[in-house]
Amino acid sequence: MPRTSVWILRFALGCLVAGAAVGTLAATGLGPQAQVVAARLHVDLVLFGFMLPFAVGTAWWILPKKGGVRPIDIPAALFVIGLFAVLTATLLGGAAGLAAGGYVLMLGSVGWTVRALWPRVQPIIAWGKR
Amino acid sequence: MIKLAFAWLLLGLALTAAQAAFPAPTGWWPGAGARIAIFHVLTVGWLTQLIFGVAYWLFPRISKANPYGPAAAAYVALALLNAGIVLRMLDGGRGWGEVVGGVTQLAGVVAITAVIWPRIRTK
Repeated sequence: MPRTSVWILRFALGCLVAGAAVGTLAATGLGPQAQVVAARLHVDLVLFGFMLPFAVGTAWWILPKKGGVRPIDIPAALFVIGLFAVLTATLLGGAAGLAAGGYVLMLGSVGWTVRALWPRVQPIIAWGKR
Repeated sequence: MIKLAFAWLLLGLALTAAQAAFPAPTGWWPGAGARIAIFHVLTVGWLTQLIFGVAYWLFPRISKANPYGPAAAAYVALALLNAGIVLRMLDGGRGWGEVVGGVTQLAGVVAITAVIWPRIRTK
């Protein structure tokens, strides 16, 4: 497994544990405002912190390399920065610009990653024509 | 784990259809927060279990003698994850099941992370 995948997958598992912990906290009868913050943190951590990186980390490792391997270290780092911006904005409560910037950064990094993975997604029959 | 994931997918979709047909809380189930319980049937029961079921099979083996790591820990994780979903379902999203089910699921997540973590490696 490539080192990039190792770090992406470990990051994803860390987010899953953190997201599950925050989700449990949200169910324990916090105040209404704290519950909203915890619920948003829970969704962002599990959806964008766990599921997306886990899928990308696995895909980066397992997809055929015949299309050419393009590194995704930089977009992966940008995605982490974007996610932390979103989480920080949620914790600060109402930092809409920071949240929007974080999501835009995540969108850009996902686009970069898709571009890097795209040539590696091809029917097996195409391999012989290269 | 993958078979259970598909079972939860079928149940989750059936419950979503039922909730669409009978949206008002009636009787003991579904409670007012049942939508959250159903959401967790799909996200934890189906998606997360499918992800970990595939990862448990696919990720690099530890050794020939012990390819998947401790089987008992994997079964404990499986039991905790699914027990957590059942507890949320029984409660219908009203209160106690959210907390007890959430703690149970958190324990399951920690357990499955501990099982998978050593298999995320370069060699």
